[in-house]
Amino acid sequence: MTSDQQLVQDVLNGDASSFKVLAHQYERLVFSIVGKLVGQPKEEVEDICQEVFFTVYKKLKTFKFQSKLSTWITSIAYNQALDHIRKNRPDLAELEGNEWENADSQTPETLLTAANEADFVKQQVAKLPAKYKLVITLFHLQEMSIKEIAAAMESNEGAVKVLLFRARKLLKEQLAQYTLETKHT
Amino acid sequence: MRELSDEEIQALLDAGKPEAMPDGNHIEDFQLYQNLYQSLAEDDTEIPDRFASKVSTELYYQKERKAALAHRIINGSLAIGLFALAFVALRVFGFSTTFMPEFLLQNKAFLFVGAMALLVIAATTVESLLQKKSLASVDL
Repeated sequence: MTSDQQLVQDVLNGDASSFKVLAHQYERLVFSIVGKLVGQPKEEVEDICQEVFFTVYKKLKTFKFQSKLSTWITSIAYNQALDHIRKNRPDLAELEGNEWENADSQTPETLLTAANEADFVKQQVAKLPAKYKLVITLFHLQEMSIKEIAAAMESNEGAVKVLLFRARKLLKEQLAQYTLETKHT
Repeated sequence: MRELSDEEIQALLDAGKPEAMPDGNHIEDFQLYQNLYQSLAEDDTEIPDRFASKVSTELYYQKERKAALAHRIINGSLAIGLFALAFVALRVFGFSTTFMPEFLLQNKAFLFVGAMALLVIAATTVESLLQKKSLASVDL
């Protein structure tokens, strides 16, 4: 039995302190997903994260370890954050592919609001549609595999690779623009 | 020398093999991608203090509230049932005319208040017993 399986079993047996351990173990994962997808304010992010863990607790008995526990929790966090965005920022949730890429043109003024490259990249990631933000966060920050990301998004590996490639290519082009502008000023 | 495409540069970086990058005009793109990858890997996630504790405590109180609600529903049903039984008993056995002392016969409200007091005592006792049982099963 893995440590995750033992932990889940302990929670299901009614041990509340085990749930605290589980929440502590996965809080960074949940906060990075919800934080990246929802953005601000922090209180809202915290409320959604709390709801994510309540859902995890309620649905834990239905989890049969067909995937990793982290993948399953990712899926819950993604869906709850997406529900929140659909209610409050439908423009970010629904924009797809070219429609979003064309809508996102940069002016020199908007390029130069960032303090440095890393700050600029963060600003640009925050403007991405939810699916793109998720694959970028899970792949680069959580170091999840394409297979795990596909499982969490209930998608296929090909689709995840396409999302990842397109997001990074666009971010690279924006970064090139930013680098050029900062060199000129 | 053949230029590397964006896809090929990304694949090399994903595989963690930047040293396999051949020389060429694509070197600027490669550096941009390297910087991008570094920025994307920077973790600025902020987690509130004692978040896990807060979540498990809130969960505990939610369970408590749910249990308390269930107890109230049980007690309410019990009280309604006892009221109904008391009413039927009064009707069927005619307590007011045959068994009750003189002063009760003159004031039927006394019967009602007495029954209410007994019901409240019974309901409180049952609720506290159930609460003790539920608290014993919680281990924070």
